[in-house]
Amino acid sequence: MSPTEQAASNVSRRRALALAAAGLGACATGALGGYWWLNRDERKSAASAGELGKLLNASFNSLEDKPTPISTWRGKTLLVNFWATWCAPCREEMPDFVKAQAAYAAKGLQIIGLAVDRKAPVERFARELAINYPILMADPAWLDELKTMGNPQGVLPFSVVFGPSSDVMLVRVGKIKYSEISTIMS
Amino acid sequence: MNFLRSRVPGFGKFAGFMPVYVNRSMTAFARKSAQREPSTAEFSGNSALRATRYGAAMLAGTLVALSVHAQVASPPAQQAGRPALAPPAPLAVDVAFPMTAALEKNQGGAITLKIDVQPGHYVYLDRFEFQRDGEAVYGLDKKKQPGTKPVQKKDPQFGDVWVYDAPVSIQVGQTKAKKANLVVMYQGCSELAGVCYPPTKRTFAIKEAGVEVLAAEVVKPGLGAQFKKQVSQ
Repeated sequence: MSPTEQAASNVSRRRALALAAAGLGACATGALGGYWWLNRDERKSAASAGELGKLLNASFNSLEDKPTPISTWRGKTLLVNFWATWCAPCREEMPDFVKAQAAYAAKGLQIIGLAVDRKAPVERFARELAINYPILMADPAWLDELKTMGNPQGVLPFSVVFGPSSDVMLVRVGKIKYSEISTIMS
Repeated sequence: MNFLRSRVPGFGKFAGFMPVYVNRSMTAFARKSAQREPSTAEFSGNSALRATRYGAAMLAGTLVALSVHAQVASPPAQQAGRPALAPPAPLAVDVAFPMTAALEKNQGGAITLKIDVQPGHYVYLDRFEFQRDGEAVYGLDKKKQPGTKPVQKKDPQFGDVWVYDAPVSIQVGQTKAKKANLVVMYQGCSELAGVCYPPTKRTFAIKEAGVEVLAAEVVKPGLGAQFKKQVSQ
């Protein structure tokens, strides 16, 4: 092979490699773009963290009608869970909350149940399930507030996890799994 | 990265493992190309290897992004019988349960309430409450209720409950009047999204017999026309 031919083959080889790299780059951009697109709802939730701050400043009545501000538990990892007895998926996730509260209380986890419901069925259900975290009563008007907090349809269950420095760690429309709480606490 | 660590079980371990895998695959790939074309490797070995490394790194990035998304969106425990990605966002309540009411001309003046319960959704039979012209009408009796029959659904706490999980036509009372005002309270859930809608109240002002009307509270334009088309076909 003459030096000219070698140089030509060299150039075409480089061009092929550059093309391959560009193709792979496009793949990566596509995949990352797809990931970004598929997770846009999560980001929207994060963007409304300012609205979520309302929860930390709010006060709710206990089952004994005692006004209880959420700031009572400042400095803890707070899992604030809106629920109701008329909501089957809410009731389904609560045994996991009982388990998580027992397992991670020492690590600073504090679950708070905010019931959008009548008091009698809430008391009955809390007793039956031996709920080991505070249950407070939330006025149904909160369902409208939730619409600006990453829950546009105001549905239940709806949970927000705040870190010890009040940072929003998770916003969830729907159930949270025990394994997710474990991941947050570990 | 911390965000991913907190969201994805085992992500830290996985991320730590990746560089080893990438390095090995890059070396193997470079070795193979060197064996195939020795003369090229000799002259442009450095740039070829660099380009290969870039390519492999990008490919690895793609794989990481895809696998992380797969883990975040559909953890193994949830995969059975569920869509591959995360549960869909809940529909608006009037999209999940579009309703019309009509005063029937020939059925003793009964009001027919049609609810186009969307797939993957259900409404509770015993949560229905009706008010007609300001007076409470009896709730629904699963045995006596004419029209679509409800189905039984297992509830871990409440035992068997009766629900409508498909389009339904319900007869509400009877009247001799030519117009009526109907208030419906109902409550439903989305099995698809794993959520429940709060109790919802809808009012229907029926001014003429035989004409289907939408609830006064439904504000989404186009939806009513769409639903009317569906029920009349």
